[in-house]
Amino acid sequence: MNGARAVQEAIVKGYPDADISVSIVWINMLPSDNRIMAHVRAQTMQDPRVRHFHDPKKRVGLAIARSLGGRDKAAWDIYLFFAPGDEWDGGPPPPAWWAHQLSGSSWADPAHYHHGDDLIGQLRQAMADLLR
Amino acid sequence: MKMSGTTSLANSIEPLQQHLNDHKHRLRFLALVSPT
Repeated sequence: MNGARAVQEAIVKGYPDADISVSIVWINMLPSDNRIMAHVRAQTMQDPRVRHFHDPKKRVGLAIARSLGGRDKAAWDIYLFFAPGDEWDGGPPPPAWWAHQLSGSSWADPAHYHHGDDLIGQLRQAMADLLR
Repeated sequence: MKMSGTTSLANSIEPLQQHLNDHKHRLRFLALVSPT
């Protein structure tokens, strides 16, 4: 399942009036990933609450993986909510909730693995719980 | 470098940090995904 589509369906379209900021980091992980493709994909998810970034050197991926116990690994295909008041200061704060689609990962906790329709359902449920 | 609404983090992740530390919104969400 394309993770960006899961975000679009579960969060952007699923909660059109929710008071949320959505940061999408397009990260170069596959040989075909580049700045142009990041730009093209960003055009498919336009919403005033969404801001797009491109991470060609995996800087964010490394920081997020490190914060979750993956030293010298780059996180991708990963989805995180941060609670109000938590600051990114030096490194990312612990997420209020997170999930990934990294099957067989050496570092990402398998308890947080959700794939395909399950990921969409989990994202919707996390939104409902965190907005309560 | 900003390209039509996509901010590059090639040199620094500070633009993302600033965005995530902006508490205008009740909830903040971050996704890292491959574009292809």
